[in-house]
This record gives sequence, structure tokens and C-alpha cells, in this order.
Amino acid sequence: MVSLSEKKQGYSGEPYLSVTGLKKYFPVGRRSLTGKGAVVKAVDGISFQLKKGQILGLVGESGCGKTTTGRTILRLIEPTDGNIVFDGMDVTHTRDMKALRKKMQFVFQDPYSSLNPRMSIFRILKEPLDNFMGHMSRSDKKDLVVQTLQTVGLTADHMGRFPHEFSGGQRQRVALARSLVCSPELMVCDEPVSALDVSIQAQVINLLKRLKQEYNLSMVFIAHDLAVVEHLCDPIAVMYLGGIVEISPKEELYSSPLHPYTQALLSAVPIPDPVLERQRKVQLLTGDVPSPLNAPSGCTFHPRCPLAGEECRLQRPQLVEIRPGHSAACFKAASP
Amino acid sequence: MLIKRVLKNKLALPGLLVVVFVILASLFASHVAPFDPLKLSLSKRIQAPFDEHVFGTDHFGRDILSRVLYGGRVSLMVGVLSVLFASIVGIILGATGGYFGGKIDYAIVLVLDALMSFPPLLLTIGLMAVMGQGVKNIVIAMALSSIPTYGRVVRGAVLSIRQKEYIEAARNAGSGDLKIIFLHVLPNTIAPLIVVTTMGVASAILTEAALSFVGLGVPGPDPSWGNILADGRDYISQAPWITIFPGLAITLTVLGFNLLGDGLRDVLDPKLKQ
Amino acid sequence: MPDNFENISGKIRTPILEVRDLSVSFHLLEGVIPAVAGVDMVLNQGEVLGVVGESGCGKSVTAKSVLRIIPCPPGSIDSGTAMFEDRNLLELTEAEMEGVRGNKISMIFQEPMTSLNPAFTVGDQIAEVFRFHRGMKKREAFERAVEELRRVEIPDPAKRARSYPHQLSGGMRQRAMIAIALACRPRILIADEPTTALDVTIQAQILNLMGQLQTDIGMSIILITHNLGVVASIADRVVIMYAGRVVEEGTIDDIFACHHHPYTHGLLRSVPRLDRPSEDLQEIKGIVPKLNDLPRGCAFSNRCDYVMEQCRQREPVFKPIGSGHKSRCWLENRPW
Repeated sequence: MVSLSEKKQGYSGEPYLSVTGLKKYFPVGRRSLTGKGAVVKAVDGISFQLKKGQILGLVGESGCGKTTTGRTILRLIEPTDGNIVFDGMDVTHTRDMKALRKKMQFVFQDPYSSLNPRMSIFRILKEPLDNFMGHMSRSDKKDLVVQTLQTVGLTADHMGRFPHEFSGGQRQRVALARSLVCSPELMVCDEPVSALDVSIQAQVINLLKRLKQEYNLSMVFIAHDLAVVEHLCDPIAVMYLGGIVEISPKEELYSSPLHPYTQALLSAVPIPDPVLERQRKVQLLTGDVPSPLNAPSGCTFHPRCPLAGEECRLQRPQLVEIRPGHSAACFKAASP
Repeated sequence: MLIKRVLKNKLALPGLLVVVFVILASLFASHVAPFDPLKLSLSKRIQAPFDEHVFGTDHFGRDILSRVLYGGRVSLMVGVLSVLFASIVGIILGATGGYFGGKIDYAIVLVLDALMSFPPLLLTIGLMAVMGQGVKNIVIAMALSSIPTYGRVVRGAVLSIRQKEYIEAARNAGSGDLKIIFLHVLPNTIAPLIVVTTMGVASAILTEAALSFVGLGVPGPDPSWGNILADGRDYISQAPWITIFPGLAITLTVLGFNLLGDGLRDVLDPKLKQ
Repeated sequence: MPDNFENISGKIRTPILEVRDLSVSFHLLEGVIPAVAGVDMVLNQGEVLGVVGESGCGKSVTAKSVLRIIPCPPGSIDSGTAMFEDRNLLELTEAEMEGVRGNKISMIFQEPMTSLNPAFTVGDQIAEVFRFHRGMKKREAFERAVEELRRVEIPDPAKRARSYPHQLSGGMRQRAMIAIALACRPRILIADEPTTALDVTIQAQILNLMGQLQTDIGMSIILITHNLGVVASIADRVVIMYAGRVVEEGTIDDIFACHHHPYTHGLLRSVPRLDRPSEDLQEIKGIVPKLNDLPRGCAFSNRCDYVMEQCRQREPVFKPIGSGHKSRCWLENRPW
């Protein structure tokens, strides 16, 4: 019997979070009071789906629009166009932001700038409780704060302290606790470990793995480090200049990447092993990532692509499923 | 913690001592002053200092020391009140404009810039000429002409704090605009604001003195530092003490507030924290 | 004698820079911070020495002290020698140091934007080096500057020489910084996290360029980084630092294949690696201690999995455990 609770658990295979044709254009320069100026197409029509309990990795280099995508999903920035549906709720058009934020939480990259320096840890964690769980008594809130701090590896003694008394890794734990205190269902993590030291990075990655189990979370994990993503995420989407160029289950992406950009990206990651390093062949890309302000015509990757042909210059390739669950936006990959 | 750092600072501590001394002296003027500041005594006209009257007397035989002490009440009150009003209005305008941006910000910047296009002293004099003399009107005129200073400082600070991730984090935690402004934005603008208001009191005291000196300030016979100076103007060659002592009081007070402001700038600098 | 030892390839290496017993402290409001405590480090002719450690371990301070560019006060070099061309750099006059810096020993930094002057064109900034160290005329110096930009593979160097730093991308700025640093063909290049602020594909370009230039010019490089992959890809020897001390030193094969210090072991196991997918990350427990509040005995004793009684009593000596391989640990044999 397929019970209702099972359906609620999301085992039906239905997408839990579904993003369709998402766009975010930012105006640039000083707009005059009336006219409209140029726009940067930070996110230009991306679509993906996430099943319950999955961690989707969103990888790309700086300026590819991964962070903007993350913020737009939670409407921390308003999308220009597109549709976001989360657990049956129309995120793009809802007016009930509180209901939305209670379920979907964001974790910021920089634990130094994401905590108000003038607030104690207790007040930082109490803020979402005041907003989302107004009916709770103060002592219940305090119990929940202590409990959440313990889940992320801190103790009740830390409640009265201020952010500057903590190290980077501990601050990121506080930030995680703030996002978790109301038991959200989806977390969008924006490079939560990239500001941390190597030994602390591992602690936070392991913590995220554990929290995902304990809270039954689904996640969108944004990162530039392919190795970190590999350890945490499945499936993985690779972004380049505002678009997804490849999306695939984890094993396939790393073992047989289809898009030439993904291939170059993977080959550029140095491996901490000198023996393997001597054999590694780096596929060096020429030039820099172009500015999203005047993105190249056709396939945005064609000026740097070793395979680029005539059609790549003229037409923009669509994301097509080439193997089951593995799609790439590349003419060459589609017809080898 | 903050007090400890103020006491350690080489600028803030002397500034604080001077300011506290001046405030106490004015506050307890009625206990400290040896004479009635308004009492005329024709027999004691223009007496040199350090005799019966420590600071001497003026052309009506009034005791200068007592007048300087009582005058301090008026001058300090005018200075503090005008800065208080100006900074409250400045905080409201600056925070609104800086936080919301867009057309509201454009309108507020326009108003502040328009106010700033007049030299502040001339603007104050013009306003006084329209509204007439009186302590209340001085406070209003001086407050109006210094609103842009505070508005701009607060707007600048809010603009930089708005960029911080903890503001976005607060929105992510479900807080609304008003809550974000009061809980996250304003507490973090306090540091630069304290510095400008402290120094603002100093310049307000100078403005009050200038206004009273040209006869647009606090009306006599009630003393203020400015009108004691003005009173002594005609006797400056025979009885320089009438102008010297209120002048010294102004200098000392302004110096005190400025030192305190400079010291607080160092003390509140987040880079020196840790 | 450790001065002349044979490395694997059988080449005789001669030391070019020898740092002995360097101690540097910072006198701050909260007390005296011993940032570097008795560091020994040798750089051989023509090699790339990787200096690895987490933030606050003293790796940058060591390099900056050798060039005498740490701000004094609050910093002060308390003891030690840095022998270069038979002179102790720490005892030279400021005028003599100016003849060394940028001429015989150059340094590049993590964020090229803050180390380039925004008010001058890139060409002028390189030309300045020639005018200062080589006494060239303005015109000649600028022409040489264009040559240098071509050498670091900046496309259209004549045009780029007239650009201001903000008009260049991050990768191009780092190339320009390298051009400035190498203008006088220094004998030593100190690179302080040169690729940390760059994307992986750009990092691969820069590392490739640095490797090429090193062979062309025949210089030695001190590469400061926290990225073990970067070290594995270009270093010959590695120095691992922790809490202001060198804890292990050896060839890259020593360090990666048969490291002896538990901190090195922990560091290597905590890095997510593409070549070992989905392996659980082993974290180093605890946090980096404050430098003015180190545990008694060994600085790593409070986080070490293999701690013994004597580790908490006495600081271990930095002793050789193989040819050119040294470790600061009381352990006799590797327990892993």
C-alpha cells in the first residue's frame, strides 16, 4: 500500500523542487529616471529538478551565476522570469514569504559577514524563532536553541558570546544552527566551506552530511570546488556564464563528462598526490571567462572551446538528455 | 569594556574630563556661582578680575564668573538640543533613504543637498531673522541647518551595512524591513554617529556664540556665552576680561568635545577591536 | 652534511636562501603574539619549495620577514638569520634591502588588485621597476615592459600595457604581477597564495606559466599555499607549518607518500580528492589554538590522535628521519 505518508516523504519520484526557465537580469550603470540601461544576464534561463532528500551540486567559476541562482530560488532576489515550485508551493508568486522562509533556508558563504557583530549567539538564533514560531514560550525557544547548538557541535555555554569570539569554523556552525533552528525542509548553501581552513572544511562537510540525515533535508549546494561537490552532492549541475551546460548523476559526470567545459574544469583540478600529478594531463583553456555583460553569441563557451565549429558560433545549444539522466548543452556532445 | 578603552585613550580621556567638568559646573551653577548673575550693582562697574570678583565684573557690575557659569547652561543646552533634534531627523531620513534606495532615496538626497547648498551659518541667521529671537527658535534654526550633516553620515553608514550578508541573513530568518532597520542596521551605525554628534555639539556651541554675538541669539539679560561676549565688545580695550573669560569657556568646551570625538573615533574603530 | 644533499634525480642542490631559527612576534593590544617561533627553512638553487599550512600558521609572516616587509611596529623580528648571497638579510640596512627586493628576491601576493597601484597603467608599473633597479630611460623601460607582458602571455601586450589594473581580469592581473616580479630576473620568487583568488581553469594557466618561467629564468620559488593539490603539482620539496613552527620537511614524495607528522597526516586525509571519490573525510578534531595560548609541550598535542604523555610535557625536537626528511614529533614510527 502506497500510503499517504510515503507520498509525503517524496518517494513517488515527483520533483520536490522544480525550477523552470529561471532568469535574473541586473541593470548596469546608472539608469536615468525614465529610460532603461544595459543589463547583465546573470542567470539566463536555467531549469533543473531536485527530488526529496537529494543534494544538488551547482558548480561553476566566479561570475557563472550560481550564487544568483541560489538567491533567486529563495527570492532573496526577485527573479526576472521563470518558475519555481517547491513541494507544491508556487514560490515565484507566493505572498506568504514567512511560510516560504520557514521551509527554505539559505546558508551564506562568509561566516564573518553573515553574523551581526553586535548580537549574541542566543539572539542570532532566536531571531528566526521569533519570526516563525511566535507562539513558543521563551523557555521553549531557549531549549530549542541549546538543542540546535548541540546538533552543530557547539554547547549551551556559547549562547552568551558574540561572533568575534569564535573562529571561522565555529561561526559557520552558528550560521548553520540559525538556518536549522526552525527545521527547514530545503537548504540552499552558498559555498559554506570555501572561506574555511582545510582541516575545518572537512569538519563542516562531515557535519553537513550528518545534518542532512538528521533533519531529512534536501539541499542545493553551491560551490566552485569540484572535489567538495563530489563528496557531498548527487546530482551535479555545471554552470557557465548564466546557463547550465551539463547536469548529471555524480559518478557519470566525473567518469565521463560530456561538455568540453566540464572536461576542462575537471582536468584543471590539481590532485594532492605527486605521483598522479606527474601523469595528469591538464586541458588548458585559453583566455578568460567573458564578461556576462556582452556574452558571446551562440554557445557562450565557443571562444574558449577546442571543438567549436560554425554552428556553435551561430546557435545556442539547448540542454538535451544524451544518456539517461545525463544532459549537456553542446552540439558536439549531442552528435559525436 | 567601552569605558575601559575610553579611559586608556590619549585623546578621549582628557576630552571626557573637560566635558564632564564643564557640564557639572553649568549644571550646579546655582550652587557654585558666588553671585546672582543678573544682579546689577552700579558701584561695582568694571572691576578687574582676581579681586572681590574672580573673573571681574561687566559694565553693569554683574559678576562675570557667575554669568559664565549660568551662561554655560544655556549654551550647552542649545548645543545639545539642536544636535539631538538634527540627528534624530538625520537618522530617520538617512536610514530611510539608505535602506530603501530608489526614488525615496533620490528625493531625500535632493532635499539634503538643497539644504546643504546654503552656508549653514547664513541659513541659521536667515531662519532666525524670519522666526525671531528666543532660545527655542535658535535650537530649531540650528537643528534645521545641520540636518544634512547627520543625514549624510547615517545614509553612508547604512549604505555600507546594507551590503553585509547579515542583513540578507536576517531577511532569510524572516525579519521584516522595520525589524531589520532597528535590530541590524541602526545599532551598527552608532559608532560613526557618536563621533559626529560629539563634534557637532562643539560646532553648535560656536554657532550659538556667533549668533548671540551678532545679536540674533539668546536675548538678554539671560546670559549665554555668546551674549556675554557681545556685551563686552564695546569695552574690549578697557575691560578685556569681559570677553576673555567667556571666550576661554567656549574654547575649552569646544576643545573638550572635539578631543572626545576624535578619541571615540579611535575607540569605536572596529579594526582596533578584537 | 644537510647543506649539500642529493635528491632523487641525483642532482646536487646548493642552498640559495637559508633561514635559521627565525622568530617573529607581534605586539598587539591583547598581548604579544609569537607568529613565528624558531623556523628553519632552506631553499635550494632551482627548486620550488612549497610552504603549506592553515591561516595563522606563520607561513606568510616567515616570507615577509625575510624580505623585511612586515610592519614594525607592531611586528618585531626577535631572532634568527636569513643568509642570501653570503649576507644576512635581517641585518642589512634599509637601502641595501631596496637593492634586494624586487631585484634579487621578488614577491607576488594573493590579491593582485590590492598590490597593483590603481592610478598607474600596468606598463608604467613594470617600467618603474626597470627605471629604479636598472636606471633605464622612460621610453626604453616602457618598451621592455611590453616585452615582459608578452613573456607572461598576455594577449596584445602593447595595448594591455596602457590599461589600468581595474580594466584587467583577475587572471590577467596576476600575470601582470608576475611580470613586475620577474622584470629583473630575480634569483628567488616568493609567491604567497598566488592562485587562491583565481578560478581553477585560470589557476591551471598560472601554475603552468610559473613552471615555464622558472625553467626559462632558472630561479628558485617559494610557493606559499594551503592547497595541497597545487603543491603536489609544482613543488619539489615541502615544508609543513603549524602554529608558527615547521613540523615536517621533505621532498614531495616524502610528504605525500611517507609523511611522519600526525598533522601532515591529518591534513592530507581531510582534503576531499577527486581521485578517491566518496571516501569519508577524516577531520582533524578541535580548532587551531590561539598563538598566545598554545598547549604545553607540542603545539599540536591538543588535537593529535597519537598524543603521548611526553608530548604534553616537552616540545619535540625537529629531527631528521631520512635523507632530507625531518619531523617535529616524538613518535618513533608512523602508526598509520
